[in-house]
Amino acid sequence: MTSTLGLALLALASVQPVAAQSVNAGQQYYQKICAKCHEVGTGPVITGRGLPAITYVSIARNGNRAMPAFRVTDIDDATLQQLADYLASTPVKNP
Amino acid sequence: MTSKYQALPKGVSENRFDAAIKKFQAALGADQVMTSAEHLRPYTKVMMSVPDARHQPSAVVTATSVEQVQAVVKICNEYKIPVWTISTGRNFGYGSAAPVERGQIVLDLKKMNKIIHIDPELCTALVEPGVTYQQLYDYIEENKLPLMLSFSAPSAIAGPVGNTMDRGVGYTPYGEHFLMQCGMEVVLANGDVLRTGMGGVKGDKAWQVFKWGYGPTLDGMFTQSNYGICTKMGFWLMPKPPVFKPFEIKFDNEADINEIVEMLRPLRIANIIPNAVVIAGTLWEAATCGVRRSDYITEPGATPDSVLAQIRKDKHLGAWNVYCALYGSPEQVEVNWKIVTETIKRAGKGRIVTQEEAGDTQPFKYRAQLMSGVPNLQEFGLYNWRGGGGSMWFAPVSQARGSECDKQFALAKKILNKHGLDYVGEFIVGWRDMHHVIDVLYDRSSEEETQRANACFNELLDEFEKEGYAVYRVNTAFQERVAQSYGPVKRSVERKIKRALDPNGILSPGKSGINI
Repeated sequence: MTSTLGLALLALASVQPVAAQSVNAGQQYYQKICAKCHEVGTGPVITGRGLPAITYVSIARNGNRAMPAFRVTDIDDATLQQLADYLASTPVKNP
Repeated sequence: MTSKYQALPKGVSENRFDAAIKKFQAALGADQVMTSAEHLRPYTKVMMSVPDARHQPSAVVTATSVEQVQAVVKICNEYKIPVWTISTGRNFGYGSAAPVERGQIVLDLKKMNKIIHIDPELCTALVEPGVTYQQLYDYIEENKLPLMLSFSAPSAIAGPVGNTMDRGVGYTPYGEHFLMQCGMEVVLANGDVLRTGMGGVKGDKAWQVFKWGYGPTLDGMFTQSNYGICTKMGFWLMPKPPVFKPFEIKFDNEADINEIVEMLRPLRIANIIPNAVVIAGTLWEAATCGVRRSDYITEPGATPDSVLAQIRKDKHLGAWNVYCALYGSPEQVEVNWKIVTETIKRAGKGRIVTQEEAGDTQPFKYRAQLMSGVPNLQEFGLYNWRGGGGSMWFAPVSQARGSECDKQFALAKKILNKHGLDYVGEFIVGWRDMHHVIDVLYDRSSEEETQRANACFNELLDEFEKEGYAVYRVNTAFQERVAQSYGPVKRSVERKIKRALDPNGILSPGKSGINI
């Protein structure tokens, strides 16, 4: 989560430059893969849920009913932790 | 009988497995060999109507080079360890990433993911097994290459090697993926590295441009089989055309399928419509634009026709919804558009929807993306129709003939409804053939419904077989059963080849019903 890491990833990233500035590999994975279901109504909204990071890690690794499981070769532990930390930190939306 | 392992390979003692695992660790590095429940769990997530335990792997090994794959088969031979290979492992509805038989080790090639070469002039690609379509898409976009991909609906997370090894399909003019494959590298059970086509010629430059090479052409033999481990695959890419014009034709009645197919066939065979067209039924359409069964009805069982009619009305869907596209220069597209619209006008039924009319709405948008090689995962909405994680593809082959498609549709709907399940299907239109793709969707969290789905799948296979129909591809729980559909002579030949190439039977025994 350091800025050095962020810059290194920026060079590799193919996400929109405007978003890439503060985006780590976990967030990038969210935008590239997870969002294709979770931002279009196929899977539930998973940002702003106020859930602990471990919940995201567990569901990603186990899969959950309609949702496939993600293997360590799909997303390594460190990147998944970044992704989970990011989701856990997204602000809870007012109802 | 307790073991420190989640499962053991068939006929392999724990001591022998211990020794094999030590060898794998020494050859690959400890972090590339996984046996813990935690690491194996994602490989056991299946959507089939059988218990997870039947497809529980004993271990997972990963490899990042051809040499490592060779090392794996050497150890497998030494200890008689069966190995199930996956590339991106997104074979949803066909067995996902889990092995065909309990206890097999999984060789996961996801991290072997180099795009070795893309030639923008000859329009070819050469890739490793772990490459995903999203990765290729990003590469093509970043390098502004004038090329277009073709892929299955799980596009973003699936990949060309794994999909083509199971002879999967896409939705562009290059939708018949194995047809467009050119050049393959496989590691054989004895560790030899075989390159097909022109690939064996010293100094060759034509591996990705001429398919057959000299003598027997073997690529087909390695697809849907267990004779080798594919470590590189070449394939052709379509040049990006100046104009892409997707459109839809909606038809109101289930009985229209006969006329639709008769109308489309001449257009497809003559390449007026050049892509793998789909004819999607109401519920396929509904699910992919976000409709869940529970929005309309909560009673269990088959969804009544009255509800289907209501969904059509509410969501402006046809009983059949045809998605096609035209590609080429503005002049070419204009000429073919005229032919298409006049054909439909003559038929006196079918409402055309253009991209301008559809705008950004689903499911038109995701269909247009699939027909132009833009990855999305919109079609996973299918898994929400009933929810619960149960899905098996029942995909019989049919002639592209109206009466045949009508007959298959009626037979499938009758059997599905009898078991309290729905017809959620589409026809993927080849030149002369149909992949009649039916998603047998059920709530896998219900034991009772799972049993019904299992009985239903068996009956679909049985009843279709009686009419001379068989599926082109099937999930791992039914691969032995479907091999029977194609007769004993074929199986006997397959077994002889297997024994010759893999005498210890280490490579994915049970794949497509093939054993030593």
